[in-house]
Order: sequence, then C-alpha cells, then structure tokens
Amino acid sequence: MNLALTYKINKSKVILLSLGSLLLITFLVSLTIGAVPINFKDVVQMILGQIGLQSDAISSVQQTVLTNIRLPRLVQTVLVGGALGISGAALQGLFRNPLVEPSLIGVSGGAAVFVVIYIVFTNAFPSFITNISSAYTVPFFAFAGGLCATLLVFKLSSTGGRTNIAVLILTGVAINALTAAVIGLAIYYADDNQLRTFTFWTLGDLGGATWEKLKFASVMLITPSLALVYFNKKLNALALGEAEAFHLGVNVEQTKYSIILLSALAVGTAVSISGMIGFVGLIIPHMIRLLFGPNHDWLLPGSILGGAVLLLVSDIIARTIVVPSELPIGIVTALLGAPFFIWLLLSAKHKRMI
Amino acid sequence: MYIAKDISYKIGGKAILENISITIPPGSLTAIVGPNGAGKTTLLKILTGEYSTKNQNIFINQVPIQKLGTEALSKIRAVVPQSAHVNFPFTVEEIVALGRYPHKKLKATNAEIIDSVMHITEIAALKDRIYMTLSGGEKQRVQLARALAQIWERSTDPSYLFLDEPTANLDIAQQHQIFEHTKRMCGSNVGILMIIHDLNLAAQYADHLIYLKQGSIVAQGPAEFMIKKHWIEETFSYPVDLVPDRSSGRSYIIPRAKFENNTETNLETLIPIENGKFDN
Repeated sequence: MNLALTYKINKSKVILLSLGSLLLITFLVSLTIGAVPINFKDVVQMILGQIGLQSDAISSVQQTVLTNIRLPRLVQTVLVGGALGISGAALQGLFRNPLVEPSLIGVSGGAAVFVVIYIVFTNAFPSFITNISSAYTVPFFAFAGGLCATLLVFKLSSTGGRTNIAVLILTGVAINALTAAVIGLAIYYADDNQLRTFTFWTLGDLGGATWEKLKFASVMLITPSLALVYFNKKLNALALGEAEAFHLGVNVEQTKYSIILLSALAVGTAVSISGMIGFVGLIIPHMIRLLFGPNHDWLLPGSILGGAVLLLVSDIIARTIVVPSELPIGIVTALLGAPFFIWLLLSAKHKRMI
Repeated sequence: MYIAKDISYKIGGKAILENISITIPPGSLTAIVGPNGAGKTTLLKILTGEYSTKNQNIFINQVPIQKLGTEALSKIRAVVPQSAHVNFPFTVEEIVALGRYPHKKLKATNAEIIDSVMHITEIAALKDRIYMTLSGGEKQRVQLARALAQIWERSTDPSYLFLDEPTANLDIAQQHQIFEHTKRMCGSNVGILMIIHDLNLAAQYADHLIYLKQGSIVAQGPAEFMIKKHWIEETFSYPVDLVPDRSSGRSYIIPRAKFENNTETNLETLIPIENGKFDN
C-alpha cells in the first residue's frame, strides 16, 4: 500500500522529468542542424562564451546564426508546440471528447479569414496599416480573427449564462463552414502572388522568428499555457460529467469559459506567429494519455512538453528533407499526425473504446 | 435536517413540480417512488442544487441553500448519478479519488479514506481496472464509493447522500449490495434520499416513503405505514396485490398481470381489469 502510494505521488514527477529531458535533448540536437554546420562543441562553447566563462568562442558567422536565427526559431517552435499541445488537452478534457482539436472552437478559421482578407484586399486598407511590415500586420489580423470567431462561437452557444457543449460543437462546425466559404470567396478574387502567400501561411511557417517579434508573443503564449496547467483537478472532475463536477464543488460555467478563452488566446497567438499548424493539438494529448494515462495532473504539463518535442522534431525534418529549401511545417505535422491518428482510431476500435 | 418547503418548478410554462414539501432526516433512508414523468429526477436536481427555483425554500442544517456556495455544498452533500459515462480511461481508484476534490486535505488522509470506501463497497480488488471496462453493477459501486468519499468526514452537522435510481439495470444480488452499502451509511449521521423504481426494494429498505405523481405528493410517511394498496394504485394507476410474508411481517407488492399463462388464474379477477376498473 505504502509502496503503491509513493509510486503514485512520484508518477507525475517521473513523467514530467523524462519528457523535460527529452525536450532538452531534442532542443540541443536541433540547434546543431541546419545550413551552417555547427556541432555540439560549438553550441557548448557558445553557451559558455555567453555566460563569460570562455572568450575564444566560435566564428562570428556561427555565432550570428546560432543566437539570431536558430535560437529564436527554436524558442518559438517550443512555445508554439507547447501552446497547441496544452490547448488541445484542455479542450478535449472540457468537451469530454477525444476527437476535439483547438480549431473546433473557431480560432484557426477566424484567423485565416482575417488574414486572407488582408492579403487579398490589402489595397482597400488605409495606408497607415499597409505601411507597416506584413510581418507584424498578418499576426495581428490572425490573432484578432481567432479571438472574434471564438467569442462568436461561445456567444451563440450560451443561453442564460449556461453553455451547452453539444451546441458549442455544432456552432463551431457551422462557423468553420462559414469561414471556409469566406476564404474560398477571397481566394477567388486573389491573384497568383496573393494566393501563394496565403497558401504558405495556411501551411505554417516557423522561419523568420526574431527576438523582437518573440518579445510580445512569448508572454501571450506562456501565460495562458501555464494558467491552463492549474485546471488539472477541475478537468479531472469534469471527466465524470458536468452535473457530477458541479456536485463535487466545481464552478462549471466559470471553468468552461476560462478554459475556452485561455485556449483561444494561446492558439490565436500561435497561429498569428506561425500560421496554421494542424494535428499537434489533436494527437499530443492522445500520445500522453496512451503512454501515461488520462489524469490531467500530468496530461496538461505533459502536453506542453510533448507538443514542443513533436514540433521540434517536425521542424528538423522540415528543414533537412529538401535542403537548401524547407518544407512548410504544417505538411510535416500532418504527414506525421494523420497516419498516427488513423492507427489510433484503429486501435481504439480494436479495444472497443469507440 | 434537510428541509424543502413548497417547491414548485416550471419548464416552458408547464408545471413539473407543485408545492412539494419534504424533509430528509439524518440517519435514515427516504425513498421517492412514482411513475415515469412524475418529476422525481427534477425534484432531486432541485434538492441537490443543480437546478434553482424562484423561491428557494431549501434549508440544509438550518442554512438556506443559496447561502451555501457550490463548494460548501459539495462538502455536505454527495450525489450518485443513475449512470456516469467517463470517456477517458481513468482507473477505478482515480474515479473514487475524485470524491476527495472538495476537501483540501493531506494526501495520506485522502488515501486512507479512498481505501476505506473501496473496502466498504467491495471494489478494492478493482482499483487498478479501467472504469470504462467495468460492468454496470461495478460502475455503480464505484460511483457510490466516490460519493461516500466525498462526505466521509464526520462533523457534528449531518451530511446527505442523494441517489437517482442507483439499482436500475442491476441484477438482484447487485441491487441488494447497493442497498446494504448505502444503509450502512445511515447509522452514521447521514441522511439519504433515493429515487427507487422497484417498489419491493423501496418497501424493504426505506425508512420513509414518498409517493410522487404528476409533480405532486400523493402521500408520505414512515415506510411501515405507507405500503398500502390504495396509495400504490393511485400513484401508479395500476392494480396491485399485497401478499403478506409471515416470516418478515412485511408485505410484497405484486402488480397484477393482465395476461397470465398460469392455469390457476382466476378469471373473475381478470375481468374487472379488462374493464379498466380496480377491484379489491
């Protein structure tokens, strides 16, 4: 009994520690991969040089590539992967449905609508907006669109302060159909160049990360991601059903809108800086659940770490498979994610879980 | 004492409950019986705080229900649902442990309580099984264990346990196990309110009986005075016979079948039923 108890207490820590180490290793390996050859020794020397322990550091080209290109890109990859992972885990828990992914609440669709409208009809916008680099305006429109769509879905599915989850899912489907239609319409009016810009945006892009852009985005990614971790006990109680969670003392309505808004914030920011990256939010929670069990005590923080690892690995593949060019990240996550998801469905069917 | 006075509830202008007044005394089992659509589950949802009514005349240990927040309420009342689906593969022990959610207690204290309730409900051997894979009876025992864990702490104030047809879909052995486990709680300052479908089970285990029909109470009182032919027939609109059992001194309720393939069937008792009348 006592032994089992100690094991239970430590299970969470053991899982998170091993996932954390995996993330660290993947991160360091990823730092050494790319067009400019940099090995482990260089990375270590650079780190030592940065903290003033060693002055005969690496070449200035390597130094620049590492600190100004690779490092911000990898930091962004980790933050975006983590945000997508935990949003997926929290929303699946809230909806009590393992097939939910963040796009269901309208975030990605709304973001895409605003972005495609801005790209295609740039000329219609006042010059004080179009004068700003698209590196800043596109993320802004993506974020605003994501938040608007989520609020609309949420508003439409609430009556008298209560949100009906089944109605919310249906509303999400309707809003997604609507956004797809608007996107199609905008694409109809787009020229070849605009079409290419938009298509690449929808496939996701982790390149072009700078410390400057990350300053604001990192706060917007880290805050909601960490806040969601503290919904672990409430989400465990919600696994029994909404009425049962209420009987256990959970303020169900407050929990619902907190989780939806925090997820929308995290995913909206992720979409705004990296474009649409599918499947991470869907499959990471499943991987963690299959490996360690459904308890949100470790599922939520584990999904941050797992999401970060998956996106780092996908990014390594995206950067190396078609050197010197690179594949859009969304293609890689979908190529890794879709077969996994099919396998998951088959095994769930086999175990008669669905 | 759990007291509800003059509870009325409407959905879309249609009265579901009208002027219901009941009390749930601690240390005893109160059973609600009635036909489908009588408003039993709605009444339970109002009593547990899930639904709120305009005039909230519900007092729990002298405190009005609206003064107790969701959290304070969850420390003194637990609910066993009719059935609970869990979509993710939680283990039995994890589900039972959820009963400790309202209590900010040490892990060791909680673990001890979880252990105790699993022993009482005889599910200790199942603790590492996946809840989704259990049989109906096992699931119901797990839900009961979870509810017991929620109101395990004994203070001077009594706590309350609500059960919505906990024995529906169970075989007879499982039904009686659930009642025995629940009754075991009664002695210890817990008031129990249970919706029961099976009249004989209600007659056998309940201390107080409430007949509910079309949103109103037909009759209520101590169970030994409540097993009366006319109340049962009025509540359920169906003829029954009471058969006394000499060994226990109780009566068994037998609904009169319209089509019996028993050769000893007395035709005389069948004819009035076919005419829609209730004879004696």
